[in-house]
Amino acid sequence: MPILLVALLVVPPKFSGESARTHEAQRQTNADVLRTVFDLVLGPLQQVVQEGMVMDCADGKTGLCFPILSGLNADHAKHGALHGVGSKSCPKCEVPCKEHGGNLLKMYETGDYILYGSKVLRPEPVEAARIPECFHPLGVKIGNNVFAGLDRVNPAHLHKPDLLHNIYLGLFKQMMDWVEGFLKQPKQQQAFEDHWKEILPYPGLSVPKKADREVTQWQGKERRNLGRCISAILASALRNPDSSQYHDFTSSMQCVSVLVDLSLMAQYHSHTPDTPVYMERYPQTFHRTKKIFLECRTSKATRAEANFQDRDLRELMATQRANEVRQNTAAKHRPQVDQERLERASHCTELIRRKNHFNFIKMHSLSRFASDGRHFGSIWMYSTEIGEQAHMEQIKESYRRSNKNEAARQILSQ
Amino acid sequence: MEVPTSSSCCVPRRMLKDCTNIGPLSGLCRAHEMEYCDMMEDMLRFIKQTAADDLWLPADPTELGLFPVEGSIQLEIPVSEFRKADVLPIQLARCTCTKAFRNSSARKEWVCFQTGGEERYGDLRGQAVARLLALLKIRNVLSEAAGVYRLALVRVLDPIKGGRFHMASGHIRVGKRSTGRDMRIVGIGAVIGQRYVIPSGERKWIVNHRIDLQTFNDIY
Repeated sequence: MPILLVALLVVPPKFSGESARTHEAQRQTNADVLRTVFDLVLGPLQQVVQEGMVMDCADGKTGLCFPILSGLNADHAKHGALHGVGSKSCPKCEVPCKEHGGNLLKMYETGDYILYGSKVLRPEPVEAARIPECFHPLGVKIGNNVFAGLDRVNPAHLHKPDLLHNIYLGLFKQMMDWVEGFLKQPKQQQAFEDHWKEILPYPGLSVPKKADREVTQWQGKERRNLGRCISAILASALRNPDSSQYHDFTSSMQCVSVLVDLSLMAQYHSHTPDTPVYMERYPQTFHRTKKIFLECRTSKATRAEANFQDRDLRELMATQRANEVRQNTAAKHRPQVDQERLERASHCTELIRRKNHFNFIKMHSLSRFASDGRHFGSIWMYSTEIGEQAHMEQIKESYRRSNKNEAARQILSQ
Repeated sequence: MEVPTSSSCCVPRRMLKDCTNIGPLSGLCRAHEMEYCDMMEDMLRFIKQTAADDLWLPADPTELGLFPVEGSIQLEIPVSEFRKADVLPIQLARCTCTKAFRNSSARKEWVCFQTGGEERYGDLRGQAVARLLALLKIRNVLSEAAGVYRLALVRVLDPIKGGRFHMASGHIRVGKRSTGRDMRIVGIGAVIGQRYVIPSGERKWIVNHRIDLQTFNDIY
């Protein structure tokens, strides 16, 4: 696949937290600049789409062709910026944020950015006041989609599955965190790390030089390698469960295995009628077994809230105990303290289970792999790995070769 | 004349690389720290099994012990790329016996070979998982018609639970044989490709079929 470097865009400043609210005006300016730049880039293509262009065909003949923009290979952050949707929203469909990790077989309406735009430009009197309420759950920022005005292009259809960011750098990263959280016992942890360090060489597999916990930054290729070994290593580390552990170990292994199987099947360069059926089953099995890792999905905020509530509860119990202590003997005191500790732990676990969820955008993307496999024939060809590799060769290498003075011109001229 | 190691002349053959002349069979046994009588027993069994097809090697241990042998440390196996019939990447199965390889420990890699029909060994479909113990080339100097035999000495593992997938982990497990001889000599043409196994307790291993797309598709 040839990749041509057309332009270098200046990256606008990023905002986060408090600064995001205070710099709303700057944010809008960034969006406007982005839209102007894309109008400039896509303008010539628009003209060709309307009038057509005589092009050489593969059979040696010439024909009047209408090249239409059909896909955008980018990670979720770039999709969000270009489609004008929030970081937690799907650029393709109208799934609410709270249902990302829900039923992976449920299909949602495809986002219609042209309709969104017309609703804002010509609002019904009754609807006008409700527009922000209507678009807020979808995370759509009206007017920020740079593809909305293109002829014969549905912006929602430009979104394509991305193995690199969605699976390798997204779900596999999460999966490793879950597995590490799950392997609580030192014996199992040690067994897992021992097997990890002893990974044998195999064609196409680069042997890791460090333990998984010691690696600070993972490359997509390393994550892909991890996916090839993780299920076998986990199966070996959890090989001798006792009766109380059997169900948990089985669920965890199944959960990890189906994610790996899905990633492998998504790498197929072509699909038979059966393979998309498998790709539908894997997310279902994952959905059925994922609760085993629910405790490992604790966010910092939930952990802080659990600690806060635990402190409150401890103080309350201490006060109650102080009132009763005069009547109790020391022999009665110890079981009471143990009972309180158990209650607090149970309360904390209950809170964590209630708050934790799997509602993140990369989980929702899993649900589309089967249908994407059917529609496009191959998911692998849309992976951003190709683009990232081109970025390395065309920009980073060219920058190294330049004299660093007005480097952009030199990069584009190489 | 060389003994063909593959059924089709168009398909690249398996090849032994880095061969060194080590004298008679007893020299190979010394280099690999093996018993000569065990090695001879395996050789005779191999000759007996292949006799029906073509009798190129004598079944007399004395004669056999005098034939020149070359040892090798790597076997080139052309394997088919998944869903690309015209692409045949080469896998290098290494067996360095007791010598260190590239500043790391000695390599005795895992391979699989076809032992019979696809109905054997459950989900492994007739493929036996084995560890390479030695790679050798033996030349019959007594007969002009006879050629060179390229052989691999392997330690065969038996599939556990008939080679069916383990319900929980979704992997096939293999283990060392508890009875009978587990060493075997096979022609390098029988070796299908490398396998990736992970130790899982005492005398047991897990066959990692998720290691590449071809293996994932074959063992499923």
